[in-house]
Amino acid sequence: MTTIALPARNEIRNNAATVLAFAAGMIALPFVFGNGYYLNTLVFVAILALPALGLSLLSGLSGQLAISHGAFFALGAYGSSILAVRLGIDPAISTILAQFIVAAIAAAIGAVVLRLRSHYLAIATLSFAIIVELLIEEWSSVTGGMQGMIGIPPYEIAGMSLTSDKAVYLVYWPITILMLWFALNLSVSRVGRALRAIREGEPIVDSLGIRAANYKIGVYVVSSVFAGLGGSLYAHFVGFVTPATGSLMFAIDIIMVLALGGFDRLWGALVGVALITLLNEYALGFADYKRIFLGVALIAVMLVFPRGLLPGIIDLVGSGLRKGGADARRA
Amino acid sequence: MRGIRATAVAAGLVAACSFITTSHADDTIQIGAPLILSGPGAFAGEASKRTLDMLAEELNKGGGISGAPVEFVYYDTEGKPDVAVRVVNRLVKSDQVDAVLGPIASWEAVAVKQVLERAGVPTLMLSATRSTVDPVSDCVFKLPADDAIVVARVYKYLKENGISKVALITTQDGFGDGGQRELENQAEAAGIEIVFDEKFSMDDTDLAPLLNKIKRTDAQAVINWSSSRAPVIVTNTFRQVGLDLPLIHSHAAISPAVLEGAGDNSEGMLAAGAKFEAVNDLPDSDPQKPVIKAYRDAYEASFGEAPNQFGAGAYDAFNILVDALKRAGTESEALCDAIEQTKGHVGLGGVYSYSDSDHAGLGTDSVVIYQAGSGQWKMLQ
Amino acid sequence: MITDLAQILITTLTVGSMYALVAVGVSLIYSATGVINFAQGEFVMISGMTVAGLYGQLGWPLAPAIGVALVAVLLYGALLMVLTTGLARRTSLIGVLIITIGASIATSGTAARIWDSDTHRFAPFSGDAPFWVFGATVTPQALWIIGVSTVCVAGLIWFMRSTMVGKAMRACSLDKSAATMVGIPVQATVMVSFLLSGLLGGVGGIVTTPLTTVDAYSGMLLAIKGFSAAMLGGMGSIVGALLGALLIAFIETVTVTFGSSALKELPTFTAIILVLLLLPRGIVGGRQEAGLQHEDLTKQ
Repeated sequence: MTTIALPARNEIRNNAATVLAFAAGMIALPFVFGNGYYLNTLVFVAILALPALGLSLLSGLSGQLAISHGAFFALGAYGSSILAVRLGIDPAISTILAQFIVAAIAAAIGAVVLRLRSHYLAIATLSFAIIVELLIEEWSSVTGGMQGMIGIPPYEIAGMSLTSDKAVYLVYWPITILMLWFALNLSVSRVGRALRAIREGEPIVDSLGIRAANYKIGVYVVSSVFAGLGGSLYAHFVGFVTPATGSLMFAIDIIMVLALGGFDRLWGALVGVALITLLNEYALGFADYKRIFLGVALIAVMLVFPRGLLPGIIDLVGSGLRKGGADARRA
Repeated sequence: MRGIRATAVAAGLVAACSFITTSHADDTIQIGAPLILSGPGAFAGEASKRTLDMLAEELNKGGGISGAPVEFVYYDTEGKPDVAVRVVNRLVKSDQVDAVLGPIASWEAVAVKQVLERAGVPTLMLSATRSTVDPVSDCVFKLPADDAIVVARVYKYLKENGISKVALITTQDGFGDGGQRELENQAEAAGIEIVFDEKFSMDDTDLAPLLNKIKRTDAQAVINWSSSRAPVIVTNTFRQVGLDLPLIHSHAAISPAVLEGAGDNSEGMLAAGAKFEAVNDLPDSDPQKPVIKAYRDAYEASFGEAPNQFGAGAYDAFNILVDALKRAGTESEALCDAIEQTKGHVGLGGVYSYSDSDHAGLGTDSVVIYQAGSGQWKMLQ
Repeated sequence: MITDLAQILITTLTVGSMYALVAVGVSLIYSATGVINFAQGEFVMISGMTVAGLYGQLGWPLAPAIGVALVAVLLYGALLMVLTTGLARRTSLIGVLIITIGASIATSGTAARIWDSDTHRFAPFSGDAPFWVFGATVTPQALWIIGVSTVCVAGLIWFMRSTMVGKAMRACSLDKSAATMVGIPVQATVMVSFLLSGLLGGVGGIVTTPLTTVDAYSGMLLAIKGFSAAMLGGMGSIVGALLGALLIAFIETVTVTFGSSALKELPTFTAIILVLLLLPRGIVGGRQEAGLQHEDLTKQ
């Protein structure tokens, strides 16, 4: 029990160094390359990384799959947009308020559906996602209905609107990296360890006095707020939202990201988002071929690297290096 | 070690992105065309792409615009607003095109307007929705007849025929939504009472329960505002449940595919739209007649099938743009002014006249009422 | 009122039969392998597109077109089996779910390239002149759908209960290792499940396309409806899947009749959440261990 409860200081320090190195690299980037277009592409990577990190946190810590992250992305996007457009609240404040709304809804839904497991949880969260999409479509006096909302204001910092790709990049990436750092620490913290213990067998943990249900709801709420924050950032960047924002297909895309990056790897989620975004860029103009390629690639990855593309390659390279090292010693 | 890996991830992202950027030769005029080329609306994008390719080839054979050839950069918007935003970003920031033609779907057009406005790229939207040009922004224009003028035309027809109570059924998508708003907004002024107003989904398998409900109202006519395959299903079910009222479709239903899908059930149904499908019924005095006929013949000769109204939109956009390019060159502001000065341009969709307060270009007179008979759309008036 | 009731009954039966053909297929594969097949709707799409192409466009007679469509779905079923069970021994349950999602996406993309991305349809088998029962509209094709589905599902239930192969399949789904010990070829029963499941979807595509139309992308939504129905009824139970499908169709029809057409899915999915919570094993109580056995979806 003490081993579970101990905070892993080493790992936290290790994370901080890695995250700092990554942050330095990402923030230096726009000063080296000026092109607005791939900064624009990387802004989307920063945004989409958030729901992916959230889902990775949930599946990595609890071994469960939720199909509700598209819905929370949409709630974050619409929540903040409605507050900013209809009530004239400053976008930064509306974004924060929207996260409280997302958290409250996630807590309520989580308390109900997290009693279910595996496929049943997946279907229940899928049903929730469909209900959210329908309500957004139908409550058109507030959400703009199927036509969506346009004219969502960008963030303002010191009286300056965040509209240029570079400015948005320099604000969004630090946010995403902070969230990544938070997620990394959460997964090695006491809470993270407790959740992994729950995953191994709930009754045992219950007997140790950990309130399994509360932990599960907690991680679901945190994970959903990741998605919600991504949605708010998205809305204030592109300036419009429609019911397609965070639809069911979006939720499936996020699951694919995890398939590429590995289900329990937070860094993997980031790499997965980058891969999917790049694939989308290269395949612009070939949607049907993209579907074929993506579908076949997913199947191949799951068959060859069942834990995900990134962990699979790391293992492969790792074993190659060890083998190479052994050969070298023999020679 | 792990720090190195993280930096490697960052470096990898940059390296991969740098391949995306492309450059183009300076003497060609590049035009971006974000079109819906896959998914259920692909037929619209496909017809537009064929038309643009055909026109560009012809123009370049004759020496282009003062010696500069025209080249299209096509991207598939997949019918999704977020993809449309990505491709338009790419067109204006990476490909740095001189002008944009598209997108087609109204929800895509609304979504990309902001990007195009900020970039100041001259744009001719191929979508019908009025919100792209209302309020007017400097460089965004649109081509096809929009909801507002088609609805006005439909209501005018109804009043002329003594119909004042209508039932509305609209699809739960951007197209249906836009139509429904316009139908509601104009009803009072037109003296029309809406006695039934419901939406349905494109995925609905059986519309009989919905249409049966209309039987219980005192509606004198039914207006269906839907696109793609929905008009077919509505028409078939309409006859099956035995509704004996005039059925009026939006402009999206005026295509041979709808008639084919509905078969005999299509007999007598109405629709409002541009004169494009009515080439044989137009009087010879109509200035559009020779233009429409020439395009239809050329398209059929090249592709072996009849064109649709979406190709027609692309045709008009191309000609208006080329005309403006010839007058003003590729400098954005001058080009926008030149497009705005387009007056009395006889196209397939109508006679276009833009001004600084009107970037839609068409009036109610460009819309006519059609009736289906013996598997063909015929112009009523 | 009597007209409303009659129309609700007819529409529920028609739409419910369409859903049932997908839901029963989902259930069959699940009980044989524990796999949720996201690509189940592709069977319907493939057969619908094939018949629309050969019979509707190229003018083949109906019978050979149907034959080709059924062969196509059988091959596709075999392919799915190889991908989700044969090659995927090391893959976790999420992994297999993703394989079926991948298959669904790749199949719709391929279909859009083979045919096109337009909507297709072919003529109803017995014309489309409707007749009226208590004032409710009935189309001949609706009767075809109801009739063919009833025969298929009844035949399947008989097959599972009364034939040796069927009994072996049920034994396998209850306890794989015990079945292996008494000499049942488990892999063969899995194969039969995939093929039967493909046939059901294929038949669905053939009878429903004249009424609903089909396009290259229509599979995934059908699959979602299908496994919602299967789960509602009780995962792994054929009768459950049938009841689940009828229930969903009934809720949708009642909502459209007395409420709004646009909101028809709201009560459906609310009902799914409620049933999952109140009756975690579905209406008829599917496989007892279903929810617990695969507790950890990422475990290999």
